[in-house]
Amino acid sequence: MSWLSSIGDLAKTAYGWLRGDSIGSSIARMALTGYVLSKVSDSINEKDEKREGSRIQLSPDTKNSVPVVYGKATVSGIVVDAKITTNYQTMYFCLALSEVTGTKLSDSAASEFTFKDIYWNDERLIFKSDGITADSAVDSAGISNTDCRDKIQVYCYKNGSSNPVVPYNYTNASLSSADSIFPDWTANHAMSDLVFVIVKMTYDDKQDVTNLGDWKFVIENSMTLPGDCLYDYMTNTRYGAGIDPAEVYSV
Amino acid sequence: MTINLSSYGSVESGLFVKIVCSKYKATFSTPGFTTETFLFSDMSREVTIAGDLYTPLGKLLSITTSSSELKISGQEVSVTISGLPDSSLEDIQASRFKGSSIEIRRAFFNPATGAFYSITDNPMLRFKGNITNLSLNEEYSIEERTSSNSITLICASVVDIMSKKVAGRKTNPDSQKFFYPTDVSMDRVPSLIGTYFDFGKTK
Repeated sequence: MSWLSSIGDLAKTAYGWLRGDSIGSSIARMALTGYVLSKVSDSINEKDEKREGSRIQLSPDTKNSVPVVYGKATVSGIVVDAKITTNYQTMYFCLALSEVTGTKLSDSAASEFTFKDIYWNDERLIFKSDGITADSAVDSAGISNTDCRDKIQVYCYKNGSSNPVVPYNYTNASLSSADSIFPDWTANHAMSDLVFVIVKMTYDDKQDVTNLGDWKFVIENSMTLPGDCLYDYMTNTRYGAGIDPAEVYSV
Repeated sequence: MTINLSSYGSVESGLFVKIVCSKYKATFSTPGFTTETFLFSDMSREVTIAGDLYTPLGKLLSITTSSSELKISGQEVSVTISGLPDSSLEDIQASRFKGSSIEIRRAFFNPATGAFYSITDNPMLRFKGNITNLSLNEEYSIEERTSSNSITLICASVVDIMSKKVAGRKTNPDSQKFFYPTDVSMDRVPSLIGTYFDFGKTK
């Protein structure tokens, strides 16, 4: 095996040169030592960052009331469920945004909710064509960044777990019910008569995706007329005064 | 609302009380509650209003006065029924009258014929609310060795009740299941309080 012995001879020659006293061999030794040390340092630092992560505590409360939105409003959402994957790299949050209101008095049509803009840490999210996966975020100065790209998914639901939607200006014909998205949810997690979102976040400390952050959702209710809103609030037994409709003079 | 009686030479009026008790029991040993409607008036004859036949109690029924105001305000009304027999006391104590709805109407009649006057809003609703308290009083006659019982119902109007009402769904399992018994969406909220998540940690 002449080629093997040739490689062995070359290695011996190189090793002998490195151990030599010449200036060249000294510089080579210093460069090699520095390179090895930098690699060891990087390895140590990398192990420290991965170990810590971000310790998150949410703010759910059993006394929080679900808000009622008429017209257009910006709401932050109330945490009603959260889950972390077993590898700690992905988290799911369920945020309740509003009660679903009733039928409009003016035209007997059911009220409909639409998702408008979604903000994360005061930056408006721009989604990919699926209307779910974040592509970029735009701040108030109009400057865009792609830190959140593919790290955040927002699943919107306009009336319970079986009514998925995407924000306005997006279309997606293949949306899933909430129990298919949120881990360990079943059909009994109906989120009945609630407008809510499920936020899925994948940890990335380099892109600063390390906690839930500050969310704002602009939602719009088709119930906007004052008479409709007053009548709904006066007669609804879930979130309103519960007055018998027969006792309300409505024209 | 106002009723114009100026064109009538004589008027007879009566007060009609309707109580709907959703937790009525005839005796303490009765297994469950039922819904019972009580209809009585201070008239001396039976009167039917909107299909409900009111029992005449005459002077045994007294109702505190209420005032008509321009602005809607809450008023408390007391309804006292006297001359209750001892046999009625058990069902009064076994039932839960507190929280029952009460409506008091006033009707105007032709005293000659006993017929309702045909005018708008007759009979008119004078009071609508809920029973907030009740008291039983006994007057015992030593000489006759008999007792006479009376019940007083303290009633708060719907205006008062609504001014104190707190409605809305809370983010907890009990509130969610009160409205949707099979919905478990908020079952984990209590366990999430104070929970830490090590997001991004490597094992």
